[in-house]
Amino acid sequence: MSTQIDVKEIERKSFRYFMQDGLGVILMGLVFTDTGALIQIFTGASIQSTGIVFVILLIAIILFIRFSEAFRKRYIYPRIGYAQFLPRDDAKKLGMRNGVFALSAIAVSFICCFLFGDWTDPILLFIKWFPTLNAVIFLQGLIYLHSKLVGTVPWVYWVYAVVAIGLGLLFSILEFDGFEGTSYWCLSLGAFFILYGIIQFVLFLRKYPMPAAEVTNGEK
Amino acid sequence: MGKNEKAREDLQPLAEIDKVIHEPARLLILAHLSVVESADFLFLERQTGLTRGNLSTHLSKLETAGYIEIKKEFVGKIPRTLLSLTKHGKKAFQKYLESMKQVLEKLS
Repeated sequence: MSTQIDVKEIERKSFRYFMQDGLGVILMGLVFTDTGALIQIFTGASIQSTGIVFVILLIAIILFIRFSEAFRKRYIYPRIGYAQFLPRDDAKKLGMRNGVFALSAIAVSFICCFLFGDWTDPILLFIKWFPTLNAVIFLQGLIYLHSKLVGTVPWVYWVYAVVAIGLGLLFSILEFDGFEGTSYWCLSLGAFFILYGIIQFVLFLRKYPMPAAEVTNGEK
Repeated sequence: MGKNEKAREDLQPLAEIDKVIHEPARLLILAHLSVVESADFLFLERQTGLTRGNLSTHLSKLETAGYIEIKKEFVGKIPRTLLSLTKHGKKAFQKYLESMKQVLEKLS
């Protein structure tokens, strides 16, 4: 028994167990959708209609952040328990690895721009490929954030990466005016995250029904 | 050095193994608590797969040994049992892992 104890694996398992409620994914989706709506305003879409969507989403994000801990205390912790994780102590090593990844990703972006882009107008080229560049930055942020907390990337993060990069390439290759492609990238990625987060949350509720009150506190 | 003497020396760390931690369920509890700042009873129950009664018994033994701290608190109206490793518990757990590693290295 004792020889099978792998503390790192226990840490990863505990973290994954704790992050399965989908709330973080929904929040990420709201942020992306709101950013997309904001870009729509700046690209000349109807300020009235898009502005209302932007304000509603912004309020939703603020409320979500403000009440998420209270929500977790009420609906999540009684189902799966509560844990406060330790801060990581190998951030430097992870930083190096992520730095290498970031440089590789930027290099790939430039190769894509070089292959598909029109270098006679670098500003237009930058705007056109902005969704892909955003996807790469997002991917980097995602991996850095997760590796900082756990040190490994679960399979679902690769799904996020493929969707983000795939949509980034799609909205870069298709023709749009100005930053419209970027706003569509944000909106579609945001919609994907919200939908995926809701599915995750529903599955979580079904997997972990609310236990009887005495189970949550360990009293016999 | 004779064969018997060498074997005795190799297995010396085994004699120093902490018996409180060496019990599989308690080892599992400490391993789970070592990766968090604190956790509640339900979290540990789900993660270790131990029954409530079993978990309570082992937690009491670990608390008596001074390896864990048990705090009772209320979240709204719901009571919560919060558990964390003490400094003494962290040291003992680390020492246990090192001792076991030494023993296994010498045996292999």
